[in-house]
Amino acid sequence: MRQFKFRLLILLLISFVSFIKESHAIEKRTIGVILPSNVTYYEEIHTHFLKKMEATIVARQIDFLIQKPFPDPIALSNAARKLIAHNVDIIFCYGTEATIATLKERPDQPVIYVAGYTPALERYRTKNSTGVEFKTPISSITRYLNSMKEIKTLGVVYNPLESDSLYQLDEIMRCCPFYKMTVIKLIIKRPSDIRQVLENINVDALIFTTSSIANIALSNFREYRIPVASLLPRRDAKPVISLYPSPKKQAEKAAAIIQAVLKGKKPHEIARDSGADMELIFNLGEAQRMGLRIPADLLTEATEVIH
Amino acid sequence: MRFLLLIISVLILCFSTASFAAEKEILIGLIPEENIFRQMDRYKPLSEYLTSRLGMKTRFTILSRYGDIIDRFITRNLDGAFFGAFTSVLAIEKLGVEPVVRPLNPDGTSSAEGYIFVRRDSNIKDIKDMKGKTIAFVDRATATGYIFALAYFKEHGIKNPLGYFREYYFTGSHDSALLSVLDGKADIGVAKNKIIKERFKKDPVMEQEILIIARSTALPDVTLCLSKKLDRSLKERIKDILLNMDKDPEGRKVLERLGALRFVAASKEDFSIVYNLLKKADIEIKTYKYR
Amino acid sequence: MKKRLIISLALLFLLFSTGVGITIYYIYKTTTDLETVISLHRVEIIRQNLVINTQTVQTHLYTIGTAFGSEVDVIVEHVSDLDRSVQSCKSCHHSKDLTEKLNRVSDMVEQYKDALSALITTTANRERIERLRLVAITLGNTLLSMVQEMAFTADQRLYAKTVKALKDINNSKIILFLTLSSAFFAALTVAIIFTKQITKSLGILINATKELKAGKLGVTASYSYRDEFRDLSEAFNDMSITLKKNHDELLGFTKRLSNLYRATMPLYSLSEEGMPYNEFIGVVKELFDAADCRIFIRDNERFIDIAGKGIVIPEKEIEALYLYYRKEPAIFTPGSAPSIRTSFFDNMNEPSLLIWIKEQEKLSGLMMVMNKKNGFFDDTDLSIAAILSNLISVSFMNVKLMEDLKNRMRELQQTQEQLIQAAKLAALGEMASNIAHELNNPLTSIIGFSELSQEEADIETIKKDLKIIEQESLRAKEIVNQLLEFARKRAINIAEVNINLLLSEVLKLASLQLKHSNIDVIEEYGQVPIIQADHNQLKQVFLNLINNSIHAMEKGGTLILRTGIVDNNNIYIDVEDTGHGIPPDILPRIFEPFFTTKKEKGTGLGLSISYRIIEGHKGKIEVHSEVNKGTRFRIILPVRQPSLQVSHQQSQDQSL
Repeated sequence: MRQFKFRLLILLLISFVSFIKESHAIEKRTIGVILPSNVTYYEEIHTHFLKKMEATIVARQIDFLIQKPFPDPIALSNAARKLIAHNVDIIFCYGTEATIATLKERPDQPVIYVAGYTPALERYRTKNSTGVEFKTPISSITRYLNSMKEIKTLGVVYNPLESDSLYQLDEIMRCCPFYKMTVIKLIIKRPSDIRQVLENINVDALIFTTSSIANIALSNFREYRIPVASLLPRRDAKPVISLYPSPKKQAEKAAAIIQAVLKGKKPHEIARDSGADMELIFNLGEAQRMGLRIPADLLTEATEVIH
Repeated sequence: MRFLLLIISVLILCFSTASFAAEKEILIGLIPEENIFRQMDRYKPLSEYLTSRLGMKTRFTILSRYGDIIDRFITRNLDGAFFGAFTSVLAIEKLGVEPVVRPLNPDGTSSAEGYIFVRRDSNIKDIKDMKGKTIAFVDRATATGYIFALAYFKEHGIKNPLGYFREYYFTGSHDSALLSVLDGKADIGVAKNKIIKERFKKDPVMEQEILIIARSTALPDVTLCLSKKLDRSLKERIKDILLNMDKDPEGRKVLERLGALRFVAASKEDFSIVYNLLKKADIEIKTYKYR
Repeated sequence: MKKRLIISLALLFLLFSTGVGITIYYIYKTTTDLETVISLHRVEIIRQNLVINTQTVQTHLYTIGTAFGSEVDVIVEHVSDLDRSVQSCKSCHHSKDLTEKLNRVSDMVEQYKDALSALITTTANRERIERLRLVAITLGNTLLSMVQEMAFTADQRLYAKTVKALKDINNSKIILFLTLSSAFFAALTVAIIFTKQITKSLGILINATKELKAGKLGVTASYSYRDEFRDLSEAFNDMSITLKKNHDELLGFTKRLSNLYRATMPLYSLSEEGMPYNEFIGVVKELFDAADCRIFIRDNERFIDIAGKGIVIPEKEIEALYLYYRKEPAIFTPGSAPSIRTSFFDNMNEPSLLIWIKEQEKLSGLMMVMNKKNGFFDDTDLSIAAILSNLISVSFMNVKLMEDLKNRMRELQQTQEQLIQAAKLAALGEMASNIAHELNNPLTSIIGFSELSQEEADIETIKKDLKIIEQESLRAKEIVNQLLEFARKRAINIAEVNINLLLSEVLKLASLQLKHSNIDVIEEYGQVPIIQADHNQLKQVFLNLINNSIHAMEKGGTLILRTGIVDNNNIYIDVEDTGHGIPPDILPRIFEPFFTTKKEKGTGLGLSISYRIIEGHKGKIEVHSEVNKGTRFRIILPVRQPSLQVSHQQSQDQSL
């Protein structure tokens, strides 16, 4: 009889504990995060994002389920599928491709994205998606390149599988005739392609588009004799110019949207944020090393000058 | 001993005043408009021309924007300066300077307009869309690069214009305000049309990408104002020389170098339009903190 | 003697003045070098100004914006000075390298100005101004280091120039010293030479006499000066020369005799090219010591120069001379045979030796030796000519006989070629008739059965007939296909082939037949390298050979497949059987198209196709057979196919 009582007690205790645990879990919201790996820019935004979120009370109510797939369409889709299977409340996507992959997988999934490329997202807009986007002013980068050195041929490194980089290529092709440049298209589908692609190419300057693959490939590019412009940051490489949306501001805007959602707002009630927040970084040391002309515009306009 | 000292000090005083009188020169300030070395190059022949015509050494000096222009005018003991529309009004009010002449641009105008502009692909079409965006002004002390925009926003019912935006900042130059918008650092920019047009002429892509949302009325451009301390007859001579420069070949060369057709007479009345603007913008010039 | 003394003194004077000239030149050069050094110093001052200006501006950069005042004007002023220094530097230097450097400096000055201007005019927040200040400072420092670097090179140049100037001064000292001392030595040398001259003149004559005594005839005292010793030496020389002349005549005669012997040598060395005329003429010229020798040969009614100089003499003229000189060799002097008027010989103005070339008393050619180098032709020449005439005549006969022989040989060869052509045509005919025969069999069946079926009423029988017609048509088609296959040159599709694997593969294909015919298979594969070949074509060859072997062993037997290495570049493959073998009479024909011993079973193309395939691989196929014992085919293949691309099928996948 005593033994029975004891057993009952234990049973009650276990069920109580599990109840508490469960009720606690119900309060929490799960945010699935797709953070394409190897792209330092997204990691930087993510760091800022976490810092911003930590400072708020709502952060305690969130579980982050982070997926770090390699940035190719299949891996991104797989990550999205996994998060959908986990039944997360919101999927928070870094970059255009992760967003598109998720929306293709399930169009009614609530999605919040950051660092999305506006023209590329236009076709995939859904009621349940909103986020922070940007559009790089392509003409600025070609103008600055041209003012440093006479550029006849401009190599554009892009990945046809990443629609943002395709839009940028189009834009570059559109403005190059005005600066009397010829565009040389340099397709890379894997980061390792870059060496082969550049082997027999003779260009006066290179632009790396926002393609994740191009960005990863850029990190192999430490010492090079022609000016490189990048539309995403890459500190481990030394692009002479980089022009990209401020990771800190992108993170802050994204955090604001997520917080609004956690407070009960629906994604369609929150406007997309496409405000200007570009940063222009100029590497003076590299420019001097290559003997480039240093235009005053760049010096005054740069948000940061690396010596 | 004391006597000796006295004699020496008197002698020194005599010499110094004598040398001072001999080296009396006219010093005119220049508000930076472009690359100051180029600007100095442009103005240099004019200083030589004035020196030879006046028989008095005439020199130009760059009036850097650091600190207080008015203080600088006083501490450097300037005899006059080429001011912009707003700084002219400021100098008239605070220093009692007198507008004398202003150069006529090659297109026949001697005025400037302020523009409010955005990137064409930015989805901003009017003042409503500007809410919560980032705006880049030129400087608190410019009519075309700040004051006019302030007046414009107030006119359109925005009581606290600076609070209407997510962020606002001053770029320090008209070029920079334009480039800030082009480079995507700001959504909206405010700057002088002259600079914008020059840029557009050099780079047609810029023109394609910029949408001008509002323009100010014509405001008087760079004007030479002379100090009230300067001898009236000297002022008249300077004015006379400048106004008649285009009539002698040497003067025409100097004007060409300066990038002006000729000088035209300027008066306080030209600035009523600026006073008007200040009123619309609720700015009290005497107490206005432009720094 | 006097003249030489004067000349020597004049030379001494010349030497002196040259020394003085060189010294003056050196002094002039040194002065110009010093001027360059001074001008370089001037440039150095400009450069230092540049450095000072830049440094001043840099210093101001650290203070600008901290206080009001005139620092902006100072900067502007200094930068303008800076600009002027660079421009003044640019205006005088011209070396390409330096101009480029200066351009870079002036470019840097422009950039520096831009940065300064931006810094001075911008009113934005402190952070931005600090950034601009840092940029301007960096650019200024770059400018400084550029100018400093130039200072280094300028310093080097300055040093080099100074060193050179000092060296030149030193050189001029040395030259002056050398000139003086060499003049002294030259005077000394002249004195010594004159003393030596007199003793030397006597010495020469004494030596010459000694040599003559020792038997060296014709020795002369080589005394070239015009003085008292000359007469004596001339008398001595006359004596010596007379002695030598007599001696030489004797030697000449002996030499002629030996030359005659040498001249006749080429006449015996008849080769296929005919007479070695040139060699012969050369020796004859030497024999008679003549400048010219010509041989004329009779051709129809003329005599033609064999050297091909286009000289032709009418038959009549030579015949007349021949008779005039009684068919004996003669010395012809212009006008010596007045009774004969000839166009050719009348035009000659030098005597010549006529040597007749006879063919059994009939004149067939004439050899003329002309232009004797020293003196005239004499009786000795005539007697030698008579001997030569006989010898040439005999060798000419030999030449004719040789040519006859050659002509006969040529005719024989032509006949042989015609016979071979005829045999080839016959072979072609046989092949055509073989094809016709092969096609005729099935066609006859087809015609027969189609006629039969037209009269047949029973539908089943007609179907059967049609089946036979179909089979026969297919057989005809097969023949045509194989014929086409044979005619077509297939492109070889080269890849890497493991021959041992290929053989086992082929064996698998033939395994059913082998079992059926009760044939044992022995595989003796050696360690052979992977070769470059067309996999499918080789498969066809081996299948063919194995099929042939199976047919040869209808009552069972053993099939041996063997591979091995011939050498570094070749391998071999044997297909050997213990069948009935191939009779020796048909062995040479087995590779001919349509040659078959299998009657209905084969088309006669298998082996010829195989042969072509192996040939296409630059390989060889050999056959060794004994009747009733067996046959062995050996294929030799090269390991590498020269000038052919090998297609790789490696996967190109690479992990990231």
